[in-house]
This record gives sequence, structure tokens and C-alpha cells, in this order.
Amino acid sequence: MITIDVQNVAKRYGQKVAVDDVSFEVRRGEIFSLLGPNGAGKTTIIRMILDIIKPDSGRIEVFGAPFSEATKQRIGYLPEERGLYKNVPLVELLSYLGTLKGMKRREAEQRAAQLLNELDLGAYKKGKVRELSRGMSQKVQFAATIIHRPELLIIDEPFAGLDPVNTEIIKNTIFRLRSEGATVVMSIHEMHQVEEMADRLLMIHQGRRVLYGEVDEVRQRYAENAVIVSGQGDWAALRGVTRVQPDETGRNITLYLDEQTTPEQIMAALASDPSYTVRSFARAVPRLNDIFIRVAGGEAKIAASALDAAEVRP
Amino acid sequence: MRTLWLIFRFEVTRQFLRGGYALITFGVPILAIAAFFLIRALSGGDVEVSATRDRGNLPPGVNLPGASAISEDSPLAQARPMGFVDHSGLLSAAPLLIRFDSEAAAQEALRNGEISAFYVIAADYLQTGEVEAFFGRFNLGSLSDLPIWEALLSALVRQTDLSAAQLALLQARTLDIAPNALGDLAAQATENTNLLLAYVFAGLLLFTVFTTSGYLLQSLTEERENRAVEVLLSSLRPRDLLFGKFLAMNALALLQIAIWIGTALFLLSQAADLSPDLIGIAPSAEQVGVLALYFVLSYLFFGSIYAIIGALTTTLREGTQFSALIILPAMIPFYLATAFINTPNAPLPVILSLIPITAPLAMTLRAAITPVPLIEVLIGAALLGLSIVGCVWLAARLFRVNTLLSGRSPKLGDLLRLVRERA
Repeated sequence: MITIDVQNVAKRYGQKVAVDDVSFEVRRGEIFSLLGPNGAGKTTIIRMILDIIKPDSGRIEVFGAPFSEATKQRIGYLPEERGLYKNVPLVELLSYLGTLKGMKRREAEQRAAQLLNELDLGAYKKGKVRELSRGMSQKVQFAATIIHRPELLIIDEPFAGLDPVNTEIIKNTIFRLRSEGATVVMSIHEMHQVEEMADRLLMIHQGRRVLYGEVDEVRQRYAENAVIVSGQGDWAALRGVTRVQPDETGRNITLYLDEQTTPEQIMAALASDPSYTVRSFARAVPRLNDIFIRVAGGEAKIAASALDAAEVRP
Repeated sequence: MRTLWLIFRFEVTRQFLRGGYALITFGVPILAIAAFFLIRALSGGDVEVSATRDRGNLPPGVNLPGASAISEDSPLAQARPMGFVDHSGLLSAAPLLIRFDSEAAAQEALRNGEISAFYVIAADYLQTGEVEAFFGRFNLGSLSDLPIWEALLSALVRQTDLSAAQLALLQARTLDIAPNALGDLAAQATENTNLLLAYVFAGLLLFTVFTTSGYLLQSLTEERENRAVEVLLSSLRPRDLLFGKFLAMNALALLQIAIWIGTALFLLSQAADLSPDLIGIAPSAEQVGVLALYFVLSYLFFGSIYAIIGALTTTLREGTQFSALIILPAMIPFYLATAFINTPNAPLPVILSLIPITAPLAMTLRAAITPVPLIEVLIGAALLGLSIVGCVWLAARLFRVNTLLSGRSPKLGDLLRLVRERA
């Protein structure tokens, strides 16, 4: 089941190309991450999905149909540029936003109170946004996004400005919503959160799609022929090892292999040679952060052409 | 409609919660009423019926009306005197009033400025209670029924064998005075009165627009200032947001004006025994209809202009600066007031009363001064109505595009592009 279907979408602002022929799909019930440097076009894509702005060309379907007013009531949106009415009591504020999403007033008030409790803001029900810290305001904003139990959650930088405790609260809420059947589209810069949370990703660079697929598959695709080991022994003496690279701590060592040698062969060699003590062994897979920097830092064209050939389609 | 209602209710509630609106809306009338009664108490406005009044043969149990005796040093005694002509034979003299033997003599004195007005007591006054008042040019201080009422009261009280009708006259709280204006003086009076009417309506319109436009501007720029707009646009259409705010803010503004006007009318009614009657301001039903129609249309037109300004600007401060560009041309008829007074149906006033931006003041001035041909009223109203629709549509369009967070106010050259832009 496809929740969002974006096909060949483009958008220009005057002479500037914001989005250039981008296509992707978001599957029902997954956490989909939208990545890209600042100004890459992520927010424009999100606004086009939400019909806040219209694409110049291309087609977008949400829940299997072109966007309509009824679609809005099934979506929760946390924008990057966010703010709320500062002088309205929280329950009243949240229930107003809930009623705009089609909820009945009493139902919205009850749900608002429940969410404030869940987000550890129960003591501030009668408080106003202006009386809250930035992190608290962020949580109220998140509550406003999910008050109507949306089927599709689109969140732009959900963890910006949050401390680790509140980040965990929001993260757990997102996981819970996903387990209840919601689809989540998340624009985010914290790459470790993407690795931990996302099922699939799309990376945009200068308005163009440069990475697209399952998170693990993308990381594997960028993996070099290398293994990471910890232990003791003369690593450079192993057959097929071309370079030895310890990390900053010195405990983990990356062994780069020649084209004829596989990680499995290295593992077998280490197991059969008692002069080596191995505490851990893993194939070297790059962190998303490294891939992001490589792609956004100048390898965009190469990556795009390579991935277009190797892309894993659903 | 549900969305519009939700926005309307939220905006209205929020304005009241802010306090500023409620303070101004209810505080100003409360202060005005308090000041009025304080001044009245200090100036001794409510004077007991004079103990020196001659009760004559007034039967026991018959109470005199609340009119008070006039002392020699009262403000009325200090004002330009009034006269009377008595055909009933009831009055030989009256305190503070100059007696004339004939209406001609009284008119002559009026023309010469010796008196500000005179009363004519009908020959059958005891049967009909009729008293006519004649005045020259309209002047708020020219008329008061207090002296003549005092005089008549004293005369009646001296009567013997009071009939039931005479008793009724004694107990009546007001005199049935028919106002009259005289000849060329009447023309002058009518002109002055109409001019006053024109300024009252035009001033009220401008006052209303200036005092209430801030609400709409503030409301329309608020979501961009607090950055809540994108959240709202994911739930509703920009035009719903704009319409909802437009309706809410205009309703609040009109409520405020209604309360203020109601207070003013109340105070005028309370001041009736101290201040003169507003005799002379007697607009025709047609005039009232045209003025009321243009008041509402003009208010909505300026509201829609402010909606455009609110859609274009990102802060209230910018909006206030922009609004001067609109208000200045709208005031053109005021600058040309002399032309309107002298030749209200000349081409220039007619044209200005048809152009939407100048029509509010131009048509108000014309309608207050002279009967305006119905066709011109209708054409002007239709153009104004179309302009309102067009401006609100444009505001919604600009609001949608410009809201999308360009982060700066557009320049004039950007406007055409914004209107055409696919948001």
C-alpha cells in the first residue's frame, strides 16, 4: 500500500529551481526519512505534498488520490518554521487545532488533556505557550500535530531544540503511532536518529534525488571492501589486507581489503590463526552521516547515477 | 462553513481574552458615563423644584413636573435671550423671556440678533397645548424649552378652577413644541444642519475605520509573526482563514462602535434637560437609507483594503505604514469639501462618488447635503460592492502566496507576479 506517491515533481521560484523532477513513494506504516542539506528542497517537497504550494509539473497522490480538503484531516504536520498562539491556554489551543481537523470540541478537549499528560505537560494545561520553555513549546507543537490521531504524520525536524529526555519522549510517541498504523515522514538532520528510526530514506541535493531506498541497503551500497575488528595481532600481515586504519580510540581497527579478498575469508583466517585474539568482528558499513557528507559535499552526481542504476524499487 | 465558524469563534474569544479590546470597548463608555454624571453632579444639574415657585391654586396632590426654576445666574440666563408671542392671553410676562406683541416683531428681533429664538403660544393653548418655536440659524445653544415651560407652568398654576385638561397639561412632562425655521434663515439653517450631518457621518466612518482597522491588521499578520501559519494552512484553506478573521474582526469592530454609539445616545437622552434639542437635524428617510448603506459598504470596503495590506505585510508595523497609501486618496473628498457643499451634483463630486476608493466619503458628503439621484447611488454601491468582493479575493490570493513564507514583504513590482503565481 502506497500512502504518498510523488512522480516527476518540479518546482521553481523565479529563476531558482527548488525541486527538479523528483519521484518517490512512501509506504503505508513505515517511517520514511527525508534528508538533504539546508536549502536542498525538502520543505518545498513537504509543502507540495500538503498542497500548501502547487508543483509546476508532476503528480502527487496522497492516500491513493489527488489532495483534497478531506485529506488534510488525515494528516498531522509539524513544520520546521513553527509557532503557536502565545496567549491562549494550552487545552483551548490544542482543542481549537483539533476541531480544525474535524474533531468535536469535547473530544478534542479530552484528547488535548490526555496528550499533555503523556508529554509530561499535565501541570501546564491552563498555562499559555508564552509561559513555557522552548522544549515545552516544542512538545505542545508536537501534541497539536497528533491530536487528531493522523494516519499520516509529516514532521520536519521533530527533535530540534529538545534535550535527550524530551527527545526520547517524542521518539517513543512516534514509534507508538507507527505501531498503531500511522505512516511517518520525517525530515531530519540527526543521522543517528535516521539509522535508528527510519525504514527507508530519500536524500535531496540541489533539488534532485540523490539517495533513495532502504536505510540498510543504502549503507551497504556505500560500504567499502573492509572490516572492523578489535583485538590483538599483526593485522597488516593478513593476506588481502591493503591498509590498516585504527580509529581515534585505537580499539577498533578498519582493515581495507583488496578486490579479491572477502570479509568471510578474513574471518576464516583470524579464526584459524591462534596468534590473533579477536573480540569483535564486523563488516565496515559507513555511517549515514559519512554518506550524507560525501554526497552533499560533491559526490552528488556520481551517487545519483550510481544509485539510479542500482536502486532497489519496492 | 464549520471551519469559518470555528475561526470566527476562536478569534472573537481570543480578542476578549486579550483584555485590550474589552477594556476599550467597555472602558470608554464607562468612563464617559462616569465623567458625565460626575460633571452633572458638580454642576448641580438636577435641581429640586424651586421652593419659591408659586403653587397658586394648585390642588393638593397634583405634582409639578420635573422642570426646574431658573435662577438669574444659571447658564441659560446668561445666554442670548429668547422671546415669546402669546395668543392665548395666558402670559403677560415671563422670566428670562422677552415678550413681543406680534410674530412680525419677534421675527424682526430674531433677524437683528436680539434674540436667538422665540416661542408662539397658540390661542387655544389651554385646549391643545400647542407651542411653536422659531429660530434663525441652527445653533446648539439656540433653543431650550425650559424658560417657556417655567413661564407657562407659573401661569397655569395661577389659574382658578383648573379643568381636567389643564391638570393634564400641568402633569405633562414635555411641551408639544413645533419647531420652525424662517425664510432665508431657514435655508442657512438647513445647510448648516446638513453640513453637520455630513461631517457627523463622514467623521463616524473615518473614526470607525481608523479605530478598528488595527484589529484586522494585527490579526492577519499575527500568524506570520508567531509562525503558526503553516500549521493552520495544513488544516484549512488560506481564504477560510482570511474570511474567518475578516468576519470576526469586523463583527468585533461593529460591536464596539454600536456600544459607543449606544452610550452616546444614552448620554444625549440624559442631557436633554440641560442641553438644547437637536432641532434642525431631520434627515429624510432617503438620506438615512443612503448614508446607512454607504456606511456599511464603506466600512467593509476599507476592511477589505486592510485585508490586502494584512496579506502583504509580515508585521503590524509594516501594515500601519502601508495603510497611509490607502487612506490618503480616500480622504480626497474631504480636501474638496467646499466643492461638495457648493455644487454637490457637479461632475467632480459625482465622479468621486462613483470611484470606489473615494466613494465612501464623497457619497456620504453628497447624500448629507443634497438628494442624490437613485441611479448614482445604485451604481456607486454596485461598484463598491464589486470592489469589496474583488479586494477580499485578492487579499485571499495574496495571503496564500505571500504567506508561503518568503519572509519579507513584497515590493510593488512583485504584486503582479504574486497574483499570477501558482502558490
